[in-house]
Amino acid sequence: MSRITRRSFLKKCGKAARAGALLVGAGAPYVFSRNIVKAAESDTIKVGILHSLSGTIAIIETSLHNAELLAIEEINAKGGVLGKKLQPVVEDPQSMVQVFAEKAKKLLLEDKVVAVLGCYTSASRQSVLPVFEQYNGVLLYPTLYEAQECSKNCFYTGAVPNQQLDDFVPWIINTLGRKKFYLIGANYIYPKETNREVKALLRKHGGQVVAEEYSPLGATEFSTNINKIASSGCDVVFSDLVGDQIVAFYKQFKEFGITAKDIPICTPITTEQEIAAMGPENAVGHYTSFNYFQSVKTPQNQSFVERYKARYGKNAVTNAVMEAAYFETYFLAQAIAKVKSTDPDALIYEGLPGQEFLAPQGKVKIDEKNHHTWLWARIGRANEQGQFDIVWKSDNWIRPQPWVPYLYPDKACDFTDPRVQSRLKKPWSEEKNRSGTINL
Amino acid sequence: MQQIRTDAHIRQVSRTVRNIRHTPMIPLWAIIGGTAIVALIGAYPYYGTDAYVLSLLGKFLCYAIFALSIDLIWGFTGILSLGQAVYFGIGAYVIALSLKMNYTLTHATRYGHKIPDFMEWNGLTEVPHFMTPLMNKPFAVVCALAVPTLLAFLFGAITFKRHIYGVYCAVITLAEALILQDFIIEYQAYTGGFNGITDYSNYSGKWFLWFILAVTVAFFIIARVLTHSRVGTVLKSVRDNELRAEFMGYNVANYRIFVFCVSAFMAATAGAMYAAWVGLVSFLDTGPVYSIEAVIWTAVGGRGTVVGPFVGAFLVKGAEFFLSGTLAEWWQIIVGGLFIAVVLIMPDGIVGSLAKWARHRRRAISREVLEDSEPNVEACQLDWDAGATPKVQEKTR
Repeated sequence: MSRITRRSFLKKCGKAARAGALLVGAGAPYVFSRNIVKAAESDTIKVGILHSLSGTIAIIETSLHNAELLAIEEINAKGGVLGKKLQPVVEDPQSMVQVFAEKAKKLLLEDKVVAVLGCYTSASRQSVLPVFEQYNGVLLYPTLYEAQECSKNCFYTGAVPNQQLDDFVPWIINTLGRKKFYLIGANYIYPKETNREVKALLRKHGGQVVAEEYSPLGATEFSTNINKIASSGCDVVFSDLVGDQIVAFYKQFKEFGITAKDIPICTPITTEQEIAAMGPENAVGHYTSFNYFQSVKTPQNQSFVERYKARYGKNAVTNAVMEAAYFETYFLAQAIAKVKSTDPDALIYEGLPGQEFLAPQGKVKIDEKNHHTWLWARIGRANEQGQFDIVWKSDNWIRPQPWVPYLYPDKACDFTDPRVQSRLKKPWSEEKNRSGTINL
Repeated sequence: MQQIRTDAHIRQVSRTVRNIRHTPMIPLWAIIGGTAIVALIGAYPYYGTDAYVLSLLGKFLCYAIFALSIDLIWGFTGILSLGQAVYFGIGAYVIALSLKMNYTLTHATRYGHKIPDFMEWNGLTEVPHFMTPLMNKPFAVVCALAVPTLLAFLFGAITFKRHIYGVYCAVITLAEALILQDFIIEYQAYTGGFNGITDYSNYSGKWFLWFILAVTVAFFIIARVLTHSRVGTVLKSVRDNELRAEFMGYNVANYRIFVFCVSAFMAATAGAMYAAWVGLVSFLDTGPVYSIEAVIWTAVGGRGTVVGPFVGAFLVKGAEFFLSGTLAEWWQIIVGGLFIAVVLIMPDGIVGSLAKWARHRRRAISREVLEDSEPNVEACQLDWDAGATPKVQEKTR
């Protein structure tokens, strides 16, 4: 029997070793993460950064992530906020809306961040908003979007349609002298809502819609659409295509033989980033309306572009959404310094509203009432270098209107309104409506 | 080696052989482990950071059931489905739609209508008639479970009856997932399209976690009983040699359809609970990528074992989760590397390899015992061991 005993003893040892190895393997990442967080807990202010670093929208979101890290590094180099350094807590939501919601929950509950800088698509914002509203967190959202929304827990530093379209559409009609619009967009909420406003503006300024078309998200074959465009008699294409679609559409447009002189493409979305991806020769002469272009000639922008290139390589390009991501980080730092606290309600009601910053695009400000941002409007024409020649600039910064009056005359967003305030005073469990929208 | 047979010897031999032949339906370790997990959750406080951990747990349990449903058809029956998320997704969407429509009755949209927001921005002014029955929650639950099961039956009746299996079957299921995904994106007025369905009142109380846990335990027992019963033996024989099973007189197609329906039912239940618990579904939950992910969990955990999918789902999802936080730029490479390592080092998955190793050990012990006693007892050794694959038997002989 001694043979068996020795053998089984050895085997038991082996078993224990394997079990131990498994345990260590499974537990290590957890312990690891805990230690990192603990080590820096006391003397820092934690800021969540929630942009996809992998998946389909990683290209643009990585640039937002980079801009926010750059801003945090700069703030820390100047001594931080309230004598503490900002500590970024980076999560990768993998371009998937479910993961966005899950990571938002983690940042708020487990890391207890003071605010989250994050999201890019409307889908991702809509998926995380319920989480921020339930746990009363602060989200700073840098993307241009379709508006008609204002959540107590969200601050929108990107453009809303009235800041991109209200001057753009009349400009196309009056300056370019083109009245027959062909609307083409991706089939989801942003293009649909944007085109609703474009159509209203066309009615107001005497333009005309020749056709309105939506292609499935991700579709990159446009030959039939371009055929239709050529034969429709339109004299301008208004495009709300997004992502890879932009690259494919511009390329096929040029291959078909239509030049920007015949039919220019006008869009509120295409940035330097997409032009770099398609090759500048495909975009020459087409127009984009944005608050910011890399070619903006302000001293702040020249220094921003220099610092960005110094940090991320000399081929890096900047874009409008990234610029918003950059200055929203400063908004947050200034707000924390102002209220001397990291309490979300203090930030939401006193810290962030009214906050001003001299951004690369010019001076910007968070509106005191509606959580959106005063921005500048510009129209750029793409040139051979893949940059934009700015052909028009607004005389002043433009007030954000989440509900444009020509479409929604009886609605507005106002967090200073007593009706809204009394509603928001109730805890989330009693009142789930966290919006600042009121009926006038 | 001649030895005098003693009573003790005989007792030991018969005990060993009995142990090997009759592995219990629910082994002791599963009972102990299960009870421990239940006790742990019960003792876990439900607030703040801990609420977050529990919310993850509920989600992981849904993933695990989903992986189990794939294991039933792939690991035990040899049907590789790359579109299992279709059944998960339909279950999830039906429940999410029902909850969303109920939610909008009391919470008007931003335009002030009592319909889901995605219907509104697509130009609908009221909930379409064919969707109103879903407002009734019990009916929605029945739909969420029955529709995927029926769909699986139809699918099985079409493909398995025509002897379509193997790689062709995998391709068809993949196409199925792609079609559903495109359908959801295209008909966004009814499905929420690219944005998915979010912002409805989900069941986030601890009682629902208990419910998910109860369903998980139930499915674990069902899977265990099913695969260790006579039916399970037939399924495995279908997997290992379809022709031989058919010559033995079994209707292979019917067995396949049956297990495919059971698996779809499980996936649908997981999806329905997922939607009710998480409060968010998107077209990604129905797509091929998610299906393939679940196949990977099963492979890592160990296909052809009931515990494997649980281990795989928790390990892969857990690693993904913790690593994507701590090493945001590297986690994909690490998780990918782990996957390759597991497949190369342990082709049967973690649980599969452990089980194989345990079996070897038991067999080695019993052989020692048998060698010590009567030589010809060895002849009737382990061929009856239900879990053993032919390859293993080759080696031991």
